[in-house]
Amino acid sequence: MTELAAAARDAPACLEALPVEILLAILHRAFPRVDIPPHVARHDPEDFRAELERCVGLARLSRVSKRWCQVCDEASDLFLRFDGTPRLVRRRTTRVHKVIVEVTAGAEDEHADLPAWLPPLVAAGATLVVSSVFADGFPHGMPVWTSLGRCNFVELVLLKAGLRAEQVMQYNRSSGHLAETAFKTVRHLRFDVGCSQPLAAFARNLATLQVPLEDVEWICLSGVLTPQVTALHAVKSAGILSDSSALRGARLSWSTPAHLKVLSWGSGHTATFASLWLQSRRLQEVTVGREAMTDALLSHVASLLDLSSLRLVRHADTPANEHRPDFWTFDVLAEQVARLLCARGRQGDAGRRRLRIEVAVEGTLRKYDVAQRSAREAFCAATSVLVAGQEQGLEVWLSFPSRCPYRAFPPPLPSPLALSTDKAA
Amino acid sequence: MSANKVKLSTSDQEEFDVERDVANRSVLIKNMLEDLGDSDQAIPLPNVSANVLKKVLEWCEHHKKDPEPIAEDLDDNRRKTTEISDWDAKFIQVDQEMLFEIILAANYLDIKPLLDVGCKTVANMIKGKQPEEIRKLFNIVNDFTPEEEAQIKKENEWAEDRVRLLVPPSCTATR
Repeated sequence: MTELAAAARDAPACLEALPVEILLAILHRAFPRVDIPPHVARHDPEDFRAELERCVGLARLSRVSKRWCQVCDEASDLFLRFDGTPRLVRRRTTRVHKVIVEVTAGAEDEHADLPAWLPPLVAAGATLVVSSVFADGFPHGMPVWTSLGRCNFVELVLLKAGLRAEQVMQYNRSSGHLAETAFKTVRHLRFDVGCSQPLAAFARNLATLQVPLEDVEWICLSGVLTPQVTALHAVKSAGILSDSSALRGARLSWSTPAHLKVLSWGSGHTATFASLWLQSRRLQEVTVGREAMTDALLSHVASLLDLSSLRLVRHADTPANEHRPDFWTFDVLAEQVARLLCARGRQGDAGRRRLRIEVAVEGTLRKYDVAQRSAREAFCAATSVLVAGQEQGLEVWLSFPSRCPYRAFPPPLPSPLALSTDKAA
Repeated sequence: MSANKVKLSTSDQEEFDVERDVANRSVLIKNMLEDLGDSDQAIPLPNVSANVLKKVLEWCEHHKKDPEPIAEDLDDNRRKTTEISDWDAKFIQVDQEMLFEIILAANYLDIKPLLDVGCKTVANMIKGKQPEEIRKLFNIVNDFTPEEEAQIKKENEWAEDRVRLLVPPSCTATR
């Protein structure tokens, strides 16, 4: 060992001396990232608040020392505050994966561009979050940032902060610009429009994005699905659709939902969900909240040959074996999953595709074991009739608010102690 | 030596006889044991001193029956909080030097849950503090030149007034 290495080893440990990967781990725990899968609705303003809190925390930390400055640059999102003459952070050397642009009310010069040094710093596949596009006091919509076109953003998030009719009418211009620039590479798109009233107008404007949206794979529309919106032609090409809790009483005309690969549905308005669910044959990932799924709807599972992930919610107090029209049971789920595996077997896909079922069990602790037992028994019984190997790749997990997840299938192997007791008996 | 025990040798040449399931909390040691097979040979841990290893083994002993950590729920990273269990919080109440030694040892020995406890502890110490408070707390030297400091302060001055303005106006307010 060299003298230097020995000295380093014997030196008392201090925060600054920790390796960068550990400092990054500390930083990510102090100020967690907001990474929301494209098919999951954002929870604004909580998510934007979390994004800002992270930026604020990192901004403070970067002032501690040069080392922390370097670590923050490694980790952080780039926060740009745009008010016409952008006050920007120092030019950094590390690439950024998320650029958050906050357009403030004073941004009157809509032609001012983002800084020229930005595009080379943005990593390919990065996320652009634009906040306050429709905010009060910012009537012109989104500024024309020609430099956006040189960034290879894959995810675009447009946040609202209050939406008014006259602002919505300006959306066409912004959207046209976005189509020419950012949409060239964007594949994941979120419009968090919120609960404002002129949604029909917004939907019309959204429809003007029809051409560029054809290439967008994932769309998360939050707060857009309302009774006023009877047709969202623009989402025809999306592979993913998510509703939001704002959905109430919608009568949507989904012309071609068969292409949907991912469906994320909260709770409520079960008729719309049922319609979407039963028409979608190519679903791969499905997340359904409480009250939307029923035994009758589960019969569709057997025809979803591409299904790889099914997430359901169940209340612990739901009767385990009683069949009622308004909820689902483990035995019907297991039976339909067995039929699906059987169908895959006939296609020669037995055991090749994975299927993970996750059930979030809510409610009281005392009923958890009932859910565990009924899930385990239902899947063991249903898969016992399958040809050997057909059940491979199937996993059923139950999660509880205050406990470790429970694997209901495949069932846990008996412990060696239990085996020896059995033999002795 | 019993088949259920393993011998660990520290950087200061001290040896510890440890139950195998306790030692197995370290992925590094577990892999080394699998490579070595049954052997009386002490496993050298040149990056860990005796007083730190003793502390690490205390944690491993307490957590030896914990289930294997499961993959994090990728759908919700907001769950990555800085909460620490009561026992771990008490365990990690050590001076800063020992805290960082434990973090380094957990990193070297590949004990992710212990590393997590250490990182969360430091994260909790950092959160909500101003740069000067962080420097003071961890005895960090401000190595920026006055010009650099002025520049970086100017660049980040937005952060200080953002905290009060974090919540955008609600939708209902605009109706």
